[in-house]
Amino acid sequence: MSGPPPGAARDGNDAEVVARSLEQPELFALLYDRYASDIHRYAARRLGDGAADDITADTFLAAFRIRSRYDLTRANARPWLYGIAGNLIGKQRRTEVRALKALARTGSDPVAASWGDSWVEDTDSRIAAQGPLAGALAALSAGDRNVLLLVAWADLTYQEVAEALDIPVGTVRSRLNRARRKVRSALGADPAFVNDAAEVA
Amino acid sequence: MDEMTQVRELRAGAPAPDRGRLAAGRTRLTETARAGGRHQVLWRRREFVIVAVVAAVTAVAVTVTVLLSGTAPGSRKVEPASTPNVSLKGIRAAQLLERAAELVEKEPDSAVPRADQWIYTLQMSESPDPGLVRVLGKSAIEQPSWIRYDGSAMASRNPVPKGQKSKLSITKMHLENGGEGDDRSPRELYRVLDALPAGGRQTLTFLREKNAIADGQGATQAESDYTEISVLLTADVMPSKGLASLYRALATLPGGTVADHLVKDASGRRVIALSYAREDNPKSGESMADQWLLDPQTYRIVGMRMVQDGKVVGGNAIAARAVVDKAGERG
Repeated sequence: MSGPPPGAARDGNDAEVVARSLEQPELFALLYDRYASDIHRYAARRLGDGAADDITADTFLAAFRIRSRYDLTRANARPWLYGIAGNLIGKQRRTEVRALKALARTGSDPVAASWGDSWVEDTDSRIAAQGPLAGALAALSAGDRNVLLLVAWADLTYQEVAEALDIPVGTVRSRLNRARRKVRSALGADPAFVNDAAEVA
Repeated sequence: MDEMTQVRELRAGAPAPDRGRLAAGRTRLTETARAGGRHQVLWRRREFVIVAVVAAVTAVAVTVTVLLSGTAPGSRKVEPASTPNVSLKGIRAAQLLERAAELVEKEPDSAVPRADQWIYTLQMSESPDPGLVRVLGKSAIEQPSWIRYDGSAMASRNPVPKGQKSKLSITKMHLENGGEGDDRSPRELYRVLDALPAGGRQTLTFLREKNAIADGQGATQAESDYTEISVLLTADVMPSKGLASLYRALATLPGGTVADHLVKDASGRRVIALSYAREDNPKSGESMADQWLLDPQTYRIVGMRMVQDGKVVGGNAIAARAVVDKAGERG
């Protein structure tokens, strides 16, 4: 997922595309073709189907506007785009937290329900501790949640998260550790987690 | 299952979008790129050489177009009953431009738009993106857009697949006083046009003195002149006399060629094609040209497209234009 996308060899790496788009703005659409699907899925996973179209479009529009500030030493623009998307998603913090709390409270996930027919319930019912997990995610600070989900859902490395959020790698590590600790303690306190762990073992 | 695995599994069934789902966002991006880049590309230095463009003679087409007349705040309908009897055989670019200047300068100017009014433009893509054509199931891609006269915002409505509703998206901007680099507001462009002297030579001198656009490295004087003129030719609102001055200034430059027959644009109209060659594509060695499309009745510019080795590779035809009070209105 984070390797070079198809077409990159022919059209140049992301940094080249960004550089060329300064003179030929329309070339920026190449990045959309490479990453819009990833960003869309990530947004649908965090906020639900309804928000994904706008988050995706706004992410690329914002990226297009600030492309002159792109660090051309970074061959892969994927972390940068996730960083922008994360900021936009962060503006809807209350929506995200509300859905996580609903999942924690009722066991049914409004976000997953928003995906409609394409959502296969089985996939998610594997996680016995969905409720406590959602509760723990809802309780994280926005910054910690952002780091955790960039690693867990967007498959970014620590270094890539640091690039995406423009923070030092050390900060990424400490935020992630704190987030994991909180999630672990929330799950550990739940008997469902024990059952689940026993099944896996 | 450790906590990271649990987090990874949560909502793992989130669906990847299909291409149709992503099409509208892609269009918003490419439109913004075109709109934002529209002036910018032109404001940047451009090179040109001389090349002829040939196109085929075709039959009469009648289309109804709503074109902005001068600075008219309302819109004026131009309904050609038939393709006018325009003789283009053997005509030189300078002759055509003088004919155009004489015609447009007689048009009365109407009220200048208010700062809070919008200029609506309906463009038809001359070389639509093949992916978008597939998604939309049609090759005529309409691009309605609005720009506020004071350059403080722009708006557009994206083409969407059948059955879907297109949303009006409005973007705030700060085009005036160089707020967005080298782009300009319609009002700023109008002011430059309004200040142009009457004659072609005088206009050229005036533009050189103003030198609104940095000259390209190694660009000849004629190339720099063409750059300045071509930016102003894309102004959203043009005073009649200013446009006439611009035509006369362009007439003094070398390199223009006129197709000896009307050509068909993306909106189906028969139009006059006036070409100025640009530097050849350095990679392919193919010849590149700007082709300005002029309405054969009003002699106003109704489109501009890029031609590479005789093939249209980009640009838009302006199918309608009007001054309106709100973004989303079509006059």
